[in-house]
Amino acid sequence: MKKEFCVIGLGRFGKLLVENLSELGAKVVAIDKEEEKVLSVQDIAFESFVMDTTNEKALSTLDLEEFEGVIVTITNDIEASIMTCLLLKENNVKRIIARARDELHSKILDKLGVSKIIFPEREMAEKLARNLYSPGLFEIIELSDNFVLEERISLPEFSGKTLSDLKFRSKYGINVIAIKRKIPEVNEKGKTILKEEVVIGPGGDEEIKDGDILFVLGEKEKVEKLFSK
Amino acid sequence: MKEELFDQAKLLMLSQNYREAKKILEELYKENPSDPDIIYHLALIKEILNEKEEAKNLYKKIIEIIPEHQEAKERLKKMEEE
Repeated sequence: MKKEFCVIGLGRFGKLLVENLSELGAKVVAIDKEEEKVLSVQDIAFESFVMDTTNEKALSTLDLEEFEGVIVTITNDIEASIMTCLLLKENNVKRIIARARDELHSKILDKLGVSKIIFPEREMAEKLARNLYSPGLFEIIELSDNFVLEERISLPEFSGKTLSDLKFRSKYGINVIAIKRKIPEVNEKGKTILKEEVVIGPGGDEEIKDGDILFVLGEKEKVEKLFSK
Repeated sequence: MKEELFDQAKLLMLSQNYREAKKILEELYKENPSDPDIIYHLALIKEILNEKEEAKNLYKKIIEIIPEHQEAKERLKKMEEE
């Protein structure tokens, strides 16, 4: 059975979350109070609604208990974020993940009993610490307790194979959403220089090269397992 | 012999056969530890392969030998910023 998530707040972060969760095969219900934002994800999300989630009546029209997790990404209106989380809590949502704008916002969300608080500054510090201690691992963004977006150095056994050959998605449940690499070329002075290339949304025929940095999205455990081989 | 091997390594590098190019450049570097061209190309390969600290040390070595080596200085600066 597909995992179902609800994303409330469709700013840049929320929209990305909807896109990536949908890509991974999750059923995503996307909500924002602005119609324009809802329209921007209507072809990606399983369902999308224009809704003021601080309105108890409106919120109760959703089957909130069915969701694996509800992610509240609102940070421009702290009151709306708090009210939404409070109402979700009252409606027995299993797992509420909320994005905090600052320490105070985070404290309030914590008091409300939110399951996970996404707090950018703190996560940046954690990421830096992990980066320093994990060779081959550059960046980690935890999208939920399970899903991560990581920057990983490609493994030697991937080199020379295409993404179709490697079957990351069907074999490991992992999506490669971008590849970053440095390519040598000769400049007009006859000197060898390096040019940086980023392939966004690589196709199946994209060949992995030695030294490639892969931006992978998937369940934390699966990513860890694949790259610790 | 040295020139031929060096040209071969550069060709391999430009055709993105980094492992083979690295092998040759490492051999050449052992025999010619102060040749800035060899060090520079080995540093580039190591940077491509994400062997960051080794690449930086090699760029620093080139700059010690030729303080005005523009390409090495640029690469080192970029790597420090990453």
